[in-house]
Amino acid sequence: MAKLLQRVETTLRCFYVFNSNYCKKEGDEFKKILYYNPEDIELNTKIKDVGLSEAIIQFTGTFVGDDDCKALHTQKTTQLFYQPEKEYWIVMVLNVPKEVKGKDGVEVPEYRGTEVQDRIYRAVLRQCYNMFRLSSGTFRSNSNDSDEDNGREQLKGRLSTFFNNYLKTLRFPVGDVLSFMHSIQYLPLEQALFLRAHNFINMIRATFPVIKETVLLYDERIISGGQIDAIELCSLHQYLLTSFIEKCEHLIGSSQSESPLVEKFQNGVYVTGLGSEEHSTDLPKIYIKIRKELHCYYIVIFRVLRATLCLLISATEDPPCKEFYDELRSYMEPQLSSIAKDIEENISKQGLRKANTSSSLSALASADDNVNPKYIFINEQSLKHLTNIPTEYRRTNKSTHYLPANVTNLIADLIPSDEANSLEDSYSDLKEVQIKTTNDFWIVQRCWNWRRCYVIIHNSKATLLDITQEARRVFDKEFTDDVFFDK
Amino acid sequence: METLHYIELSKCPIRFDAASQLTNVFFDDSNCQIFAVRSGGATGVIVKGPTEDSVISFCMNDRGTIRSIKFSPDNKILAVQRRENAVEFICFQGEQPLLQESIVHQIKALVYGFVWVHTREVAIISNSSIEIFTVIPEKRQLRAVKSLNIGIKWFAWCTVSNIALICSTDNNSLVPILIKQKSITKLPKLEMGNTNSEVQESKVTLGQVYGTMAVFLLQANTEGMMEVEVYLLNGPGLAPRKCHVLRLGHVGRFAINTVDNLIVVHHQASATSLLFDIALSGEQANGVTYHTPITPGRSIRPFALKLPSLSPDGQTMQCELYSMHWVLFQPNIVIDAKLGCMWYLNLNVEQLCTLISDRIRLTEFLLQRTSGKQALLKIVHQMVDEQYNGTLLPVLETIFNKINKVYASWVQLELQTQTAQPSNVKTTIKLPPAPKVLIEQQDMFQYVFQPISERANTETILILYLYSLNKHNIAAQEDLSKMIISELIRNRSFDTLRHLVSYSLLLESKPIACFLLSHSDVDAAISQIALDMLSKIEAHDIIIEVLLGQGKVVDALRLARNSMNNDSISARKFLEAAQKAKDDLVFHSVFKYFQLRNLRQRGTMDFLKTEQCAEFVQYYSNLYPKELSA
Repeated sequence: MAKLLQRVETTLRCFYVFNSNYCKKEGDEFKKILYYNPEDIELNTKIKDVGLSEAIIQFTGTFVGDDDCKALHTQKTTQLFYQPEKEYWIVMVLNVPKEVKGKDGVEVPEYRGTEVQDRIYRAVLRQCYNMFRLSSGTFRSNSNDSDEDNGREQLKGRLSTFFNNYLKTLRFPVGDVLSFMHSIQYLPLEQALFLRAHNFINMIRATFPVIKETVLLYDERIISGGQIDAIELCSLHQYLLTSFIEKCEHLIGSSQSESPLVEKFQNGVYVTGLGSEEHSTDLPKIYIKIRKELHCYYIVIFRVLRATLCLLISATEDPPCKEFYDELRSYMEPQLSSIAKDIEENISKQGLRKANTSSSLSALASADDNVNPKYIFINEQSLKHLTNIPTEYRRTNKSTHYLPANVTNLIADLIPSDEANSLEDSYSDLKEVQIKTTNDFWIVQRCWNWRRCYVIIHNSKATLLDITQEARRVFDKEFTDDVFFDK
Repeated sequence: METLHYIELSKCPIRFDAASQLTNVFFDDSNCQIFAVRSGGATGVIVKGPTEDSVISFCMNDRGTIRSIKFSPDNKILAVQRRENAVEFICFQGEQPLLQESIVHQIKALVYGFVWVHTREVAIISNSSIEIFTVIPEKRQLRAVKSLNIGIKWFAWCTVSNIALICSTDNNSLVPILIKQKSITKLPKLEMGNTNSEVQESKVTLGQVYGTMAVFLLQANTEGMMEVEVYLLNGPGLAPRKCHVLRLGHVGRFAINTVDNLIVVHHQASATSLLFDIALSGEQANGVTYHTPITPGRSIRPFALKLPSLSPDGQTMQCELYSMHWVLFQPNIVIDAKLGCMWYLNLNVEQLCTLISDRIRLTEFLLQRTSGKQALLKIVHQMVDEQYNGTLLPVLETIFNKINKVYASWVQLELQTQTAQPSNVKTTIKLPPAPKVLIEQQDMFQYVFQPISERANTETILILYLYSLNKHNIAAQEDLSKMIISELIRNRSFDTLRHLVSYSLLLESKPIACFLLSHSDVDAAISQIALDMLSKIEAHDIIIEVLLGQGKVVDALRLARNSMNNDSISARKFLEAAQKAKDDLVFHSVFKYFQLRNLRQRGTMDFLKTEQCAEFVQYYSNLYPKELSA
C-alpha cells in the first residue's frame, strides 16, 4: 500500500504580463515581457515561458477565438490566461498540489492537478488586474508615451511596484469561498437610519461639489456605495480594507483590545489627506469606473468611531487645500459621529433580536462546527452577499479552511459563468441543484432572479428528503424575498 | 420698486353716513354692524354689516341721545341705551320696528353697557352687577335669569370667547367673567404681580389668538419703552398668566388688532404697524417669552377710495392712514367715522414672505396662517428651483420636517376617527378640523417636485423628503414613489433603488412594480428589483406573465402550480407560450403536465373543448407522431 509521506499544496510558480506587440523584430523578445515574477530569474527562461504562452494562445485561438484561451493543465502545473485589455495578457502559473507517497521504499510524487479549480484562480487573476487598475489605471494608459520604449519602461515600473507587493498578499492555495466570489457585505440598517445615512452623504456631496462619489462603511461593511459599479465597488472595498482599515486597526489592535481604537477615532480623523496620521500631503489616487467611465480620483478617508467615510475627488484638479479639509471636517464630523453611534445602537439591538430567536444560524460557535448548515447568498446584480461564514476566518493565516477544498471547488463549479457578462442577460435562470460530496457534504444551490444561494450541510446519514427539508428551512429563515420556490 | 406692505385694508370698505352733527355712528362688534343714526333715529337708522350688501334701514322716535345700540344676533330685537340707568328693547317684524311694543327696562345702578349672549338673552353690566335677562316680547317684559353682584369700574367684552373682562373696584384686579346663556362664571383674576394701581380701560384689548382668549395690556417697561403684555386664558380654573411680552421699541399711542392669529400693533406717531406671532420662538425668561416684531414695522398699504363720479374710471381719494378719526375694533376692524368707511384689516402673506428672510422661521410662520399653504408651497418650490444650492439641503430638511409634522398629526387623527367608528354605524364620519396649513405629499408632488423633474438635484431632494416622511411614519404614495423611481433610474442609481425597495420605503403595488418592469430595458437590475417587489406583494399573476414573456414557460408553470389552484391554470395560455418558445422539450413538458392534470381531474388526458387547445394537440402530434398514435 502506498503511504502518504508528504503533501505539498498549490503554490504560485510564476506570474507574468506581456504584450506581443512590443516585439517588432527578432532579438527584441525581451521587450514584450512587461512583468515577470519571480524577477531574479534568467531572462532567457522568462522569454521562453512567455513564448510558450504566446504559442498556446495562438494555437487555441484558431479554434475558439482570440480571447478565449483560459487555462492550460499540465501534469505539474496549471497555467491561467487572462487578457484584460487588447493584446495585454496576464498569465499565472501554479504548481499543482503534490502528494509524495512511499511505495516499496521509493518516494513517488503524485500530482493532483484536478484539485486546482480554474474558475477560482481565474477569479484571483482577474482580481489581480482589477486591483492594479484601481491603483494605477489601465495598462494602456500607463504606457501612453510618444516614445514606445519610454512608455513600456513606465508601465514596467508601475507593474513591478504594484505586483511585487500585491503578489505577496495572495495566499495559496485559495480556499476561501468568498474571496473568489467578489462580493460585498452590506450592513443592514433600519429604514430611517439608512435614509439618514443616505441623506447625509447626499448633503456632503451637495455642499462640496468637488466630491464626486462617496462610500460609507461601518467596520468592514458597506452602508452606501453610491453609484460605483458593483464590481468596482468590490475592488475599492478590498483596497480600502487592506490599505487603510486593517492597517489602522492593526496599529492599535496589536497593543490592546478595541477600546483605544474607539478612543482614537472618537473625534474623527483623516486617514488620508492633510492632517492625517502621516501628515502627508500626498493624497492616494485611485482609478475607478463610475457610470461605466474610468477616471482618476483622489481618495480622502475620514473616520469617526467605527464609521469610515471615503470621499472621491476628481484628480483632474489640484488636490484640495487645508481650508477644504477644515470646512469638510466641521461639516461632517458631528453628523457622522452621531450616525455612527446610532448604527452601533441599531446593531446591538439587532444582535439582541437575533439572539432571542435562539438557535440562530448566524450565531455559529466555532469553525469546526459542521453541525449547523452554512449558507452563502449572492445577489449577482449588486454583488451583495449574506453569509454565516465568519469573516474573521478569511484573514487568519490558518492552513485549515472553513470548508473542505472539494466543497469550495464544487461551489466554484456551480457558478454559472466565468466572466462578468452574465449580467447583461435579460433574465436569470431559475434552478435548484443538490450535490453530495464524497466526504458527506451536501451542497444545495438555488438560483432565481439574479440571486444565487448555497447551503452547505454536513451530514453523513441524511437522505435526499432530509437535505431538501433542511435546505428549505434555511431558505425560509434567511431569505424572505423569494417566491420562486416551493414553500 | 414698490414699497412692501404686509397689512392692507379690505378692498371694498363698507360705506356709511359719516359722523356729523346730525348723524351719530355706532358699531356693534358682536354682529359687526355699523349703525348710522340720523337725528336720534327720527330721520332714519341705517345698519350695515358685516358685509356691504346686508343693510337694514328704519326710523324710530328720537327720545334722547343714544349711548349704545345693538341688535340681537337674529336682528329681531334692537336694544338701545339712551339713559344711564335704562335699556330699551324694540321688537322688529321683518325689517321694521314695532315701536309701540318697546320695552324699557330700568335698573337702579349705573349701566356701563349690555351685550347679547343669545337671541333672546341680554347681559347688562352696571357698576354693581352683571345680570342676564330674557326678553319676552309677547309679554313685553324682561325676566331676570342670573345675576352676579360685583363692584365694577369698567368692562371690556370679547365676543368670540363670550368673556367680559372687568376691572373690579376691589383691589383694581382684572377679572375675566364668562357670560353664556343662563350662566355667569367668574374666572380667576389676572396674575398681575403686586401692583394694585388701576389699569386704564384704554390700555386693555381683548382678543383671541390660536383659539385662546388673550388679554393685551399696554405697559411701559423699565426703560420707558412700550410693551404689550399678553395674558392667556389657558384653561378653566387657571389664572391668566403673563405668557408673552411684545417689545414695541417705540413710545406713544398704540392700538391693537388681531389678524389671522397675528397680533398687529399700530403705532400712530410713526404710522406703522408691527406684527407679532406668539407661536414663533423668542427670548425666554421666567416663563415669559419676549418677542420682537417679525419684521421691522411697515405701514398699512395706502388705500384709494373711489369717489362717486359719473365717469367710468372715477376719481379716487387717498385715505389718510392712522388718522385721528380711526377707531379700531376686534378682531380686525378699522372704522374711519369721518370718512364713513369700515374696513377689515387683512394680511398680505405674499409680501410678508419677501420680508422674512429666514426660511425656517418663515415656514413656521406660514404653517399658522390660513392662507399660508400656497405661499409656503411657492417658497419651497423656489428653494428647490431657482434658489437651489447644495447648502440649502439642511434648511430644506428642517422645512420638510415641519411640514410633515403637521401632516403626520393629521394622518394620525384621520386614522383615529376611522378606527373609532364601528363599521356598522352609518353616520357620516366627522373629521376634526384640518390644520390651517396641511401640505400632503400630493401637494408637494404637484407644486414642488413635479416642476423640477429630471434635474441634477431632484433625486437628492426627493430622498430628503422621503426621509422626512419616513421619520413621521408616513408611507410614500404612488406618485411620489414613481417619481423617485424615475429619477433614480435616470441617474442610474440602481443601488439606491435596490435599497429603497428592499427596505420597503416606496409604495409596493402592482402599478409601481409594472412601472419598474417597463424600465427593465435600461438595466437588468431594474427587472430584478421589479420582480422583488412583485414577490413581496405576492403578485404571482404578474410574475407569471413576466416569466412567460421571457419565454421561461416551465418556470412560470411551476410558479403557477405553487401559487394558485392547480385546476384553474389556463392550459391554453401556457401551451401557447411554450409553442412560441420554440423549444420542443419545453413544449413537451408543458403538454405532458396538462395531460396529467386532465387525467387527475377527469380521468382522461384529453382537453375540454372549452379550453381551446385543439391546435396544440395537433402541434404535439406533429412533433411526436408515434406517441399519440400508440
